[in-house]
Order: sequence, then structure tokens, then C-alpha cells
Amino acid sequence: MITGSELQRVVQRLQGSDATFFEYEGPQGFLRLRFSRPSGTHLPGDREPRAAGHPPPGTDEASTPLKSPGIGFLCVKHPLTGLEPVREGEPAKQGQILAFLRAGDVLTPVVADRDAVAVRPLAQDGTLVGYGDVLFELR
Amino acid sequence: MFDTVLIANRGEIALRILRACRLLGLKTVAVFSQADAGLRHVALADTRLCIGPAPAASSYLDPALLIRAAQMTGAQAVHPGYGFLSESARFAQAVTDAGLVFIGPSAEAIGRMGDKISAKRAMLAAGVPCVPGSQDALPEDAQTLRRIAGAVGFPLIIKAAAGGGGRGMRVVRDAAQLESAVATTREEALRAFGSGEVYMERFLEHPRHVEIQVLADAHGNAVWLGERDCSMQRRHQKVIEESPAPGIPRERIETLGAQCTHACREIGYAGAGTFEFLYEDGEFFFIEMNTRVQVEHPVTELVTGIDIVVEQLRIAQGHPLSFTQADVQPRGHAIECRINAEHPWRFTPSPGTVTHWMPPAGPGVRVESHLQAGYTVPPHYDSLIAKVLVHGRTRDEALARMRVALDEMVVEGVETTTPLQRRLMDEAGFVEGGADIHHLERWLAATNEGTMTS
Repeated sequence: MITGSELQRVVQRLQGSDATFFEYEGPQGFLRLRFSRPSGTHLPGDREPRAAGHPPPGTDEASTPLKSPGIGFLCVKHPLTGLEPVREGEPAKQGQILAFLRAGDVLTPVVADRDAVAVRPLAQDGTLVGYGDVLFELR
Repeated sequence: MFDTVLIANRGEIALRILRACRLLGLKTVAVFSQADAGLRHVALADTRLCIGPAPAASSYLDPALLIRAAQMTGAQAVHPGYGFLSESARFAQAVTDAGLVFIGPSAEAIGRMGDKISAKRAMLAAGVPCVPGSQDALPEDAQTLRRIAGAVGFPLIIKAAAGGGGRGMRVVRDAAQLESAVATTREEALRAFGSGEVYMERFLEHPRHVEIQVLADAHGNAVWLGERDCSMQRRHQKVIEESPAPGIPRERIETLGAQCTHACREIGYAGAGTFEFLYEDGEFFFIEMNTRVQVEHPVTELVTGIDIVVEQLRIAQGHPLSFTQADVQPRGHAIECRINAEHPWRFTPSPGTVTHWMPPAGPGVRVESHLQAGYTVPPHYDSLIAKVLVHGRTRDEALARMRVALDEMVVEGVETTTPLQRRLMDEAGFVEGGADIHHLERWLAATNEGTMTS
């Protein structure tokens, strides 16, 4: 089992990086660290809160593209848990993780930039995506 | 041996590298910022990847991002072009550490030649002539400073060891200015380059800028490919380059070229490089080495017939040079005009959309450019939009061809420096040949063109 001092060292290392969350799964258990990040952001597997059943004021049926925040291979499922943060047609809350970009060992979350009544993926799982490529349509 | 090259640059040089890769059957990866999605080389590349927003710091100047892009796209080699990270020893090392090939000299060679003090020391050891000056970084002690200055002689110039492009320099004409000039330059150098190391050299009043192009492989072979005269400069930025340098005895150039190749072997240099010299009163003085392909490399290509970028790629693949010094037989005369998207007399940047682009053509004319109608010159990068080159049997023929080429070229939608260069093709001092590095600024001041508005 990880000791308190080991945990402290891990936290210190991660605080010096851009990481907003960290997950580790081993035979002895599961560690999840959450660092300060925009309010409302949700980790994979966090099914609550979900978007309300109706669109936020002013968005109605309008759809907007959600663009890639960087470069990487698109992962629609979390590589450790296998959970799919969102499925086609499901609603999403602003800040909710919709997918990940994998670059080497590093995962970067793709986060909804607004509430949406339905999410539609526009890029294939495993595709190499560039900065600004459209990954989802948010309706 | 690599078969896929990531082009870590943009604009005309990215297109130039892509063409060289294609000649060798190599696949290309174009990485680009959001402002550059419409560039020609992006459309032509086998793989393309937008790596970040327009600011260079978030795209072309991010070493980790570029290396990640290479790894994810399957590129095994990185060509840095010129500018951006091309002379960053740390980037070269990071590329190598990632198991990729850096198309250029080793990080050690870049580091050594990038520091002007260590470069000068290496050149002196290799027998290359240098401007008389301090051997090491200048000390703080005022008495020692005065003693060194006395030995160098006035006027002298204080330079930042990590400087370049004309920044971090100060001319000192007498002993009374010495201490304050050193202190000010040291402070500026620390702010601009992160190192307060400065050194001292004799200041030459009317030098010409003459440089020697070299290619060296990893098997101990080194050749020089003639010289370029880059004396037509404004604020240390080259405006016109040509080869050969008018009026300099060939035997002087040949001796210098041999010294440069000797230096390459001495320092274990591999790749393309340029030794820059000041030339005054029949003497050459080494100023710095550029450890990359230069903007003006096609001038040398026109007179030698050697494809410098192809040779860079072959050297990086581990091949020996495909020719020997005896095969290098410069022929005729070549001139290049750097066409910038700038006001021709005020030199203010002129970003915007190119509404019409018609490059010149004809015998002996070559144009290196990424322009196309509808292309928007972004404000985020340097303003070079085209290089117009001509080759003729003689300098007079080359001048005539350049006049015709510049008259014929059409660029609408943005201001360019073409009117300036066209005027210079008829300017007595330039036409005569052999003007010094201050000639253009003197001419601009005398003709009062700097105050013209169109």
C-alpha cells in the first residue's frame, strides 16, 4: 500500500505539472487525485450531475462544435476504467469530460465548454487529432 | 535510416524542405499553427497536424510539442529549417534523446558555435582569422577592462556572447565611454538572452559581410561551396545577397574556404553551416557561425548546382557527401532579393490578404515562395513572403534579369519591399559592386526615402 510520504511526493510532483487529475490503479487499490480546475469539471465515471432535460436558455436547438484542446489520439473510453464518459445522444454539463487525448503516457481531458442536451461525436476513437479539430457537436 | 521527416517550420522554407524530401522519396509531416492551415506545404504533405494556436511560443517554438507530434505521426527525423528552434542546442538534444534524428549538427556543435566566445576560440584554434578582441567574457574589474580595450584598440564594439541579429551590441569610440557601455550591454544581454556575458572586438568602420557555405558529413568530409556577399543590409537584416562577392580576389576566398572546412573537421561538425565574416581592407574576420540552412542558401545552389537541403537530408541519414571539393565549380553570378510583406521605405509590417500573386519567370529566374492568391500573411511571424533569385553568366546579366523579374512580379493586397529592391538594382553603389554593410542605410538616409509614404 502507498505510504503517506509517497503520496505526498506524488502530489508535489503533480502540483508542478499541468495535470488536473491523476488516477492510479494497482493490485492494492485505486488512487484518484483531483487538482484545482474549472468548477463543474467531472471525472470519468462521474455520472452526476447530468445536464437538465432541457437546453440552457439561449441555446435551444443550436449546435456548436467542440474543438480539440491539443494533439493526441482520441480516446472515447477511459483507458483504465473502460468507462465511456458520454455516449452519442446523451446530455452533458459544462465542464464534464467527454473524452481524452492520449499523448504517450499522458491523458488530457476533452471537456464540454457548455451545457448540451445531446452530444454527437464527430471524430473516430483512436484517431490522431490536431489542435482545433472538431471532436463533438454539442446541441 | 529514416523515411519520414517532420518539418518543424513554416512558409517558404517548409515548402523547400518538403520538395527536397520528395526528391529523396521521403514522406513528410507538416505541423502547423492555426494561422497556417492554408499553407502550400501543409496541403502537399503526406501527414498534417495542427499543433497549436498562432503564437509561435505555443506552436513552432514548443520543443516538447514538436517531439510529441513527431512521435505520434511516426516521423523519425525533424528538420528545423531556419529561425524558430533551428539553432537551439537544447531542442537538438531533446530530439536526439527522444530517439529521433535532428537534421542538423549535433547539440554539442550547436552549443559551441552558438556561443560567440567559444565559437571564436574554436575558430582561432582552427586557424580561421578573427576580429582582434577579448579572448573570454569581459571581467567586471575596470582596470582589467581598460587594459584589454587598450590592446584591442578604439573604436571597439561590446557584444553579448549569446546575442545575434544585431541585438546586444554597443560601439565604444573612446576610453571614457568604456565602463558604462560594458555595464549597459551586460544588463541588456542579461534581459534579452538570459546571459550577461559580453566580449569586446575591434570595430570595423566599413566592412562587407561575406560568408562561406559549408557542408560536412559524419565521415570526416567537409566542402565549401563558395561565398555569398550579404552586405546590403538594413538594421542587420539582409535585403539582397549575391555570389560570388564582387571584387574580392579568388585566391583570398579559396584560402578562407579551405580554413572553414578545416575548422569543420576540427570541431567535428556535420551538416550545413555558414561561417560569417567581415571583410575590410583585404582581410577577413570571423564573426559567427550559423549552424543551420540559411535563408539565402539558394544563391549558392544557383552557382554550384548543388541542392543543399537534399545534402542536409543525406548527411542526416548517415551518407557521405555525394561529391568532393573538386566537383564544386561555381559558375556565373546569382542574386537574391528577400521580398518581405513590409512597407518598402518605412519597413513597417504589412500583414493582410494577398489578392493577386504572379511570380516572375524566364531564363535564370527562380522563386521560392509559399504565396498563393487569397493567402493571408499572418502578423505572428517574420514577414518574408518570397525570395526572388536570378542567375546569369555575369553579374551584369544577373542584374538585368533581376530588373526584369522584379518589374514582372505582381503582389497585390499587401505592401512589399519590391520597390526598394527594384530601385537598388539601378543604384550606382550597388551596381558597381563591393558596397559595405552601411551602404543601404546611408543611401536610404540620403535619398530621404524613409519619409516617403508610398
